[in-house]
Amino acid sequence: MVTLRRSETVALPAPARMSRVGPLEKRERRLFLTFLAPGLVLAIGAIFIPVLYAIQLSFYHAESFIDTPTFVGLGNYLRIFADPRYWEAFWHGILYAVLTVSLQVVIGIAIALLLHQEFRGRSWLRSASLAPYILPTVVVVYIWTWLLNMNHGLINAFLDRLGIGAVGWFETPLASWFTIVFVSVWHWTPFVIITFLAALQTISEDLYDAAAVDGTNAWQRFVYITMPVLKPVLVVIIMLRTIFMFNKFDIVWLLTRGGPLTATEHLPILAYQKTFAMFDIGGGTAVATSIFLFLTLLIWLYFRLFPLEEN
Amino acid sequence: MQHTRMRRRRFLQTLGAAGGAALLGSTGLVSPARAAKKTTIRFFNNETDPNTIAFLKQIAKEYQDVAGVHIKVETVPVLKTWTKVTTAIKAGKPYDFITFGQVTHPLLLVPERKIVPVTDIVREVGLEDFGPRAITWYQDQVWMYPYDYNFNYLIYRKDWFEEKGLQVPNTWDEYLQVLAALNDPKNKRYAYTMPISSGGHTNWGNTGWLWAAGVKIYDDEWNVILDSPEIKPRVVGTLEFLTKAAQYTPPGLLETSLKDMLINFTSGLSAITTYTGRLIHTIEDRAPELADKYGIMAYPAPDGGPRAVTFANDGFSIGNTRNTEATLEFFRWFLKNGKLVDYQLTVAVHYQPPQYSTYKNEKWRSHPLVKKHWSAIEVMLDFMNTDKTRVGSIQLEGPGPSPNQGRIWNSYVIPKMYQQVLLKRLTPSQAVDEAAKEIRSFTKKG
Repeated sequence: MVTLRRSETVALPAPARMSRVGPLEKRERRLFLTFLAPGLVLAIGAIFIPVLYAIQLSFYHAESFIDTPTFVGLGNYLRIFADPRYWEAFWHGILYAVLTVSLQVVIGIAIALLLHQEFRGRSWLRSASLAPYILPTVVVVYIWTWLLNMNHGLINAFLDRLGIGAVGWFETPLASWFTIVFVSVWHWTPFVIITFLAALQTISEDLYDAAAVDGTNAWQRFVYITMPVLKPVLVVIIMLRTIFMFNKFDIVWLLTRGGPLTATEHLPILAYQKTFAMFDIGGGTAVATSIFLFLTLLIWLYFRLFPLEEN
Repeated sequence: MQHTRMRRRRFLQTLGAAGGAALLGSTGLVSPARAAKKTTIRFFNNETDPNTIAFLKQIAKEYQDVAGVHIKVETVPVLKTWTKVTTAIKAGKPYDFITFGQVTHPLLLVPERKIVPVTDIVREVGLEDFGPRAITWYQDQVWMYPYDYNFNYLIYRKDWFEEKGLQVPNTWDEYLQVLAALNDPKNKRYAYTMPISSGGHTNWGNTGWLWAAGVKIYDDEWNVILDSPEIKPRVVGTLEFLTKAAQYTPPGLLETSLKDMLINFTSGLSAITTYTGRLIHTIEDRAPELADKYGIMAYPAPDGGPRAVTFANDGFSIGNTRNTEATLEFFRWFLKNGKLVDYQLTVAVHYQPPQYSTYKNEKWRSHPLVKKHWSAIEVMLDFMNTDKTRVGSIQLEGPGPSPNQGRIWNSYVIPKMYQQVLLKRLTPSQAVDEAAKEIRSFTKKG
């Protein structure tokens, strides 16, 4: 049996000779800046300024947005890091991100591989698979809240009919965790599917044919042909999804509000609670800033471990 | 290079076209610019009933015809009131006329001078016209004109009571006996729907038992007394009572929300729930056959003492803005022309008027729903009688308005106390200690 090695099987095209691109001509530079300006202004106004303002507020104590803030230095940070509730929320966020991203990636790749095959109705199924992703999050939550309702939900009615009995999907911490992970995966997996599906289109069928002729099985073709091509996409997807899911506020808040008790509370919910509910603007923005710093560190570490460029 | 000149020419053409379009478009701004010099009152509304919203739009149009002042109504859910009002102030676009869902919020704006007193208006109406606790004084002024007591009380199926030969309970033991008699899970009939999950629905919809037991959270100096030797036994007793009552609730106790409180009752799943007159409107809309089959009662006390209701007190405040005078004029017009009664009649049996004169107002009394449900309204009037009914609320705890009350509300410390016991994580005594500890951690004195 021939062992497939990457260098033998994936024939890389000869590197194109790239023409030297010199610095922009002065008038081209003006054109460049003119087109860049609106986006830059928007980014500065809608992203950078609010982020910097929030970071600034984290060094102050204020009980509302109309209160006169008092400078407290690192006091807010010392306070939140000494609070066990912060660390409980931190680990909840890690758990939520790990569970949801793992499931999204595994299920996403599986469905993408399925949708990559030729079969009747494939186009329709590809469109249908995107449906959960295009629904607004609030709609998704409302749908599932009703479906999973203890007394009036269709799911429990169906389980009752089967003789299994109704399940309290929000009644215990474990059930609540299952619910938030399930709904999150249902809502966001299509994004992963479509990204991997696009990546799969770049693999030439000839490679699979040649590999099949060489006597490889489906798993070997997946490991030695498909995965190497998917790897850069996988690296980016895992990074993006991890950031998204660690920061995901809406689904968890709308489903459980961090409950029961604080069983599903993570850092974004804690930041929201402190800022808008507990009259602790400084504490809330300190939590938010800590999320930003943590994710920045995570991204840096991630790209050190999994660089996009191959040496 | 010709290529570059062509690209630049096209760019300049595009820019010219865009600029021309902008110029043409800006001529349309002249009229709005002129119109902007007219006064526009920004009206913050947090009553999301469609009838109320429609009425406010109509009022806006009417006042514009009368006074030439534009009223711009913006509706936001009640639980988002504080965030929206304060961020609008911070953004330099404060609201001129504000609806509040509890009196603590406007009073928090007083030190920053973001609202103006309405004392003169209240005096013009007559202080004696307002029921107990309707008017809150702060720094010798009144800052919110109340339009709805928003009492939370128990609503029960009279027909089921009659079927079982039950009387309205007067003590907690009697209440538990009633629950036991009414509960029939095999036939999907449960005795009592109550909320315990973290949210405003529990803070408002399931604290009546605490007030009925005489529980206090703070003393007059902001010391937490929830776990004091005098108060703790009352709280423990309430938690033990709720644990017993919980066995007679429909499954899904932790997910019971405001909608479940309405739906469980109107669908016949539950014999008793807690709400305001809004449930009566839901009965009229969805289960009119129940219109003569319900009764209302305040929360019984443990041992037959004064019953209790929970209080929330909706009202109007006037912002300290450049339009304050115009807004005060609008509000006087609103009151003098009977628009307050019209406003209250948009959800007639839900808004419980805090003014005695409203109950004698012919227009109000002759509303079909008021007439139909007059027996319930008579009971609601009893809730205004301080000899008969205790009134409690998180917002009434402590010596005065303070973010402390808002923190108790928003931290959901009371729902969490319930959950600790009902999820069997802590004993009632431990749960009280935990709650008191949390309240102390965020209470600020002064």
